[in-house]
Amino acid sequence: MGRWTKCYSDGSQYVGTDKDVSQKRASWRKSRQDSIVCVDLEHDNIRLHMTGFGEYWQSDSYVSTPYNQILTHRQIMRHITEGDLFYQIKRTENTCSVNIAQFFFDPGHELIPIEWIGKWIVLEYDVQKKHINHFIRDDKY
Amino acid sequence: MSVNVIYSITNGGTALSSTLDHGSSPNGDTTTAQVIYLRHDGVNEITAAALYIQQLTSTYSGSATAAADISEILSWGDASTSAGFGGVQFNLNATGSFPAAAWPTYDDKDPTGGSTCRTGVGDSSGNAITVPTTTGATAAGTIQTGSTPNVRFQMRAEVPSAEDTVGIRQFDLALSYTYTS
Repeated sequence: MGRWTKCYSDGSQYVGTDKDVSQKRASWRKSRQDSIVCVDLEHDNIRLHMTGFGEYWQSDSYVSTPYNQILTHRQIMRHITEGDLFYQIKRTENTCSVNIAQFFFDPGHELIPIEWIGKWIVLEYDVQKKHINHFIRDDKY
Repeated sequence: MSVNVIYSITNGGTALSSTLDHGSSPNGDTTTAQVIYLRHDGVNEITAAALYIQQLTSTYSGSATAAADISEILSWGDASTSAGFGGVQFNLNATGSFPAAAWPTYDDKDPTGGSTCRTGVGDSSGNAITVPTTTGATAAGTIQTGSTPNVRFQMRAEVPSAEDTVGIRQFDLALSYTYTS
């Protein structure tokens, strides 16, 4: 089981646990979308983390047959805009974090390639294979 | 799960929960096309919905093995001769009343509105066939909410004219999709 967390610029948070989402007591879409400064996704002992003011999205991917359904991937993603200048990706065995910087440059950050502008940077946990991917995608899921 | 997909053979009908028998067919012919309806219980649409077939994951009761069956079925779609051609086929043009022209043939394995499952096409989640708007989907890969969204397609199996082994073949029909709460 897991949860996602939206962190806002005013210091508040909105948490969607898997239980609350499945019972329709929490919703990514219906919760506040503006002023997000970071998003976390936790699943078992895996943590995906994205920081930097911007537009975010969260989704889960499934495979369904008529008699079975499995969760295959969990994603968080951030839209990259012209105002984004630098990025940094840090990985450990169980975590992956992406920071998008707009106004400053920290050592270790790299310049965002111009071809990323308008696309989405995705952090994805493959639930079945138990590994973390990050990639650029044209659209959010 | 925050969303569950439901397969049925009528719009909004009883959920399929076990093997669906497509019947039998002689060599060089097809099984009767079966309409499959898709819906889900999410409060929002599902996206990136795409169809494929895979090795049977439930208890196998065919004539060989689950692995042999999916391999054979995909090889029928791969066939480089008309006598060897067959396999699992989709007609995805529901809004056009499932025209005959949307069924694949050896000469056109992917006609407009139809597809043959074969290596690289509908053989895995990575090669899944996006559910098009002609199925009743609101956008490509998007299945709307509701108990009767009327998203449907037909599927059938074609037995190659050159097939020499009589028996029961089994496989899974699968749908990959994404959901945001």
